[in-house]
Amino acid sequence: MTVSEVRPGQQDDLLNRARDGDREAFGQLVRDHQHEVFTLALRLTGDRELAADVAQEAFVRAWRALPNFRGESKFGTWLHRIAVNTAWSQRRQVKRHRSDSLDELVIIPAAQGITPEESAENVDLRVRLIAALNELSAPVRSVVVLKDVYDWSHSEIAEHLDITVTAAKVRLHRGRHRLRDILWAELGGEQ
Amino acid sequence: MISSCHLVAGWLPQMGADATPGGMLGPHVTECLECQVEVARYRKLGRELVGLASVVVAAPPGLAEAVEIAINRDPIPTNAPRRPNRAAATAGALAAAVAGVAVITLWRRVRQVA
Repeated sequence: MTVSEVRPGQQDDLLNRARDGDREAFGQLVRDHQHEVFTLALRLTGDRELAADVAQEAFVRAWRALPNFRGESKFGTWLHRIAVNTAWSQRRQVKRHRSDSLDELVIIPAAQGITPEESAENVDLRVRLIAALNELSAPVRSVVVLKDVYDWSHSEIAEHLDITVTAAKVRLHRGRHRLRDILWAELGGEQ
Repeated sequence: MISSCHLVAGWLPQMGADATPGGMLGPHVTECLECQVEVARYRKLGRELVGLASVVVAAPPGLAEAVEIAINRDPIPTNAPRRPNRAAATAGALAAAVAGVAVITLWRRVRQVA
């Protein structure tokens, strides 16, 4: 299975049609973006079932809000923000879930330019990192994922998670420290 | 007294993948193997987290179809109703207040004359 690539021109056309109420065009946008939105939801929740619910709800919210999308940001970025807000509003349902690490490695896009040998070397640490992320509390994990994986600014994180910038920085500090402890305590000091 | 190693350990999580101790801590890290190991760990952690951005997980089968079913039940969205113009609302409220004061003043004068 591969991640679909969306051509910008094609996406603009789909967006215009979807904004005019074309459900089929929006359906195509959903199919084009479902994997990345699901991935973000999974990173935030740590739970596949909940991530699927979050992704579905995020797309429905996006459909309803589509007439207000003015294209000031990329459509994918806009979808990500909706997914973060949706995940955050459903955070009370977040459960600890630690069995997704291996499933997550089903897709590693070839476009990364990583050889199979390099991939194999990185798989172990990546699996343990995903498991370690799932050990974090949802509020801390959300900040670490948005800052370190998705490169959001502290102020964007604070705004979308409805916390202060200081709280975002404190959670990031705690999260990184905890990840370091989990990853390297397991190895008994091994690099 | 807090050791330099403790200071470095407390500072590294703020820096993540860009961890390069400078200032007063720089010379200590240059000399201290334990701190160098810690710096390397945080750099590796930061790189791995950044690397996760390019790992896309397959959505479960049926997700897109479930969304389509949900939006087919939804009415076609239209532009959100325009928010009332704040300036116009303020002007309206002010005008109403002035009119109220004018009516009360007029009523008092009528009463005095009567």
